[in-house]
Amino acid sequence: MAKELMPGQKRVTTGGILGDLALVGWFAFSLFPVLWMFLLALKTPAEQTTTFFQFSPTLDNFITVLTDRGRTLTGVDFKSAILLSVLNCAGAVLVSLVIGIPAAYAAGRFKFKGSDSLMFNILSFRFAPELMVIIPVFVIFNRIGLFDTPVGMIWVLQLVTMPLVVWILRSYFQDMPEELEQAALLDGYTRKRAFLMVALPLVRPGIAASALLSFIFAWNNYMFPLILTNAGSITVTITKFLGGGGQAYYNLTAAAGVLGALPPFILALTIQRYLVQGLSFGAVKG
Amino acid sequence: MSNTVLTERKEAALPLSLSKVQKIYRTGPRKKGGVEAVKSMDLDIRPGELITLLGPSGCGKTTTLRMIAGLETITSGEILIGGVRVNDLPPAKRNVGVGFESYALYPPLSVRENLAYGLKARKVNDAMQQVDELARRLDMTDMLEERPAALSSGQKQRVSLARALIRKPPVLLLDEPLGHLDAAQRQRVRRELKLLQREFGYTTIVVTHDQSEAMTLSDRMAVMDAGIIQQFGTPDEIFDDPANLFVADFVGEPAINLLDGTVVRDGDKVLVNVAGGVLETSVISAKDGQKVTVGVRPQDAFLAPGVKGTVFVYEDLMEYGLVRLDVHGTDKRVVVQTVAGAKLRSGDISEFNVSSHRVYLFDPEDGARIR
Repeated sequence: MAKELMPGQKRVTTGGILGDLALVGWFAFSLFPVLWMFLLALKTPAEQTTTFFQFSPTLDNFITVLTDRGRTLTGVDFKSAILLSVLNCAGAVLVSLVIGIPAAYAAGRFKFKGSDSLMFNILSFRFAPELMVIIPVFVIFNRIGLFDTPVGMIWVLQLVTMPLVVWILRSYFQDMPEELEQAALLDGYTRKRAFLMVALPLVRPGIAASALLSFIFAWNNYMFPLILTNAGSITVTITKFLGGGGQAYYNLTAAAGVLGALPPFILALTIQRYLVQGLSFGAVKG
Repeated sequence: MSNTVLTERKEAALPLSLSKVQKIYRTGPRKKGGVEAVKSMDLDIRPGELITLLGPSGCGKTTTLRMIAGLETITSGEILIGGVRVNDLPPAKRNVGVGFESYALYPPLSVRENLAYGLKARKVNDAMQQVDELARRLDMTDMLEERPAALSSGQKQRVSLARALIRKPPVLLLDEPLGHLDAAQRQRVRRELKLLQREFGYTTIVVTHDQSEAMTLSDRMAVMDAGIIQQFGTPDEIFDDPANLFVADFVGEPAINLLDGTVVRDGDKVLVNVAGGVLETSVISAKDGQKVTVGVRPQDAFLAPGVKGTVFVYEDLMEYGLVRLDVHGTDKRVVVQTVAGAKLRSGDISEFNVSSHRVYLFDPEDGARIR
């Protein structure tokens, strides 16, 4: 169905065409590296530094990455790294949600002394570069025995994810009319039940959006796992495929990158229904 | 649990009283004080009485309602429901029903579930029957399975009203219950509300800014301004015997005519000199030479020799006519209600008068009524 036009609007204009072309150009520019990674992942070691688009694709790289051959080449176990990352990131997201949802609710509903500075403080975790805190954290973790443990990893990744959860969900709670809970209070529900039964179900899209975003942020984190673990993470492991000792496996790195991008991708697809709602209502509005 | 309103109630409406209730919203640092939304408010509402709080927006009427419901803390003073001090009781234990202006319907639930929600919390057995019963009374059976999003704002408002009514609370608080209805619906729901209120005997407070709603609904009404009750009385008292200039000006449609005048005592008679002529008044306490604000309701005025003016425009509303007169010697324009079909044209010279007991005098300084 043709789009309804405003009075005086023309269907095809030079400006419109130029705008479309610019958009296509931007897409090509931003998606080209991803395409390149896909192609590279399908190339043999002999072709890995060529720039040809024509070659005979092979799945060998993926097999190498996922099997013992990869381990002999690079000394890392890709499968266990990906599993570890999934666990650590899911753990961090879970902790952020369990603590962040009530925090966001309180921040959105109640105005108390210092509430604004507290929110700013939470956000400030996000604008301090990780490099700034990594040395003290490293020393502390070594002292108290959190180095190279899942608990330690979840602990630091949660610093990355919590501010996102709190800030995104706060605007959701603010947008939700207070009367809904007050009506429940008047009906005889307790404050806690009003929160759990009335407020919480309504912010489900926001929870989905913030959970996904924070999972991606945790997943992509490189600095914390690099310094604070030996077991590695997906990001650290991918870089190991670059190899050493004069031999670089770009094709293997690309294959590992493609595989490493899958979990967040799958997660995004599964909660897409909530996510689109989530991003358009509330989240970025505020 | 003995100290809850719930247990005090014996299926009867309860009296509600407010005594010196005050609400200050703390804004800045503690020492600076804050905004005084409600100043020392006293109200005594008899069981089963329907009163309205009428006033312009921001006068504190909704704040008062929320304090009674337990959704705002009370800065000072006390609120008694059925003789029980409820200041420190949570909303659930006050057993009041509230109809919110913003409907407060729960989007994921159907109308039926929304109505049953409050009953479930109190573990009522025949919740569904009660919902069906009330829906029949309010003529909303056909929307029971709809989601709130599918309803028009008028329908939402009726559901919101039903939600407040369903628990048959001894005290019912309604914030602008008819505000979003169209004219025809408004009259129907207004009648139905009044009937239900009579039948179940709820002690009811209705907040409204619509004076005709207040006039037709209330047993008594409280006219509020700036956090203070200006006058509390029956609609007749409010209309015929306003306590001050604000009440006289706020209530009445078209609004009361206000003119500057000077009192002249002439033997037994008390006269007021307004620019275009002289009006006789029965206000006995007025002093000779006193400057006053003269109030004349359009409904009380009639065309007869008295105060001269030029017809600005005449509107015939079929049931009656309204003539607007530019009063000679001032820049004021007064409205006089006439019989329908009066033969008047713009530019005609005419005169109006009022019977002496319908001339209100007010102190021009503080608006107090001179009786």
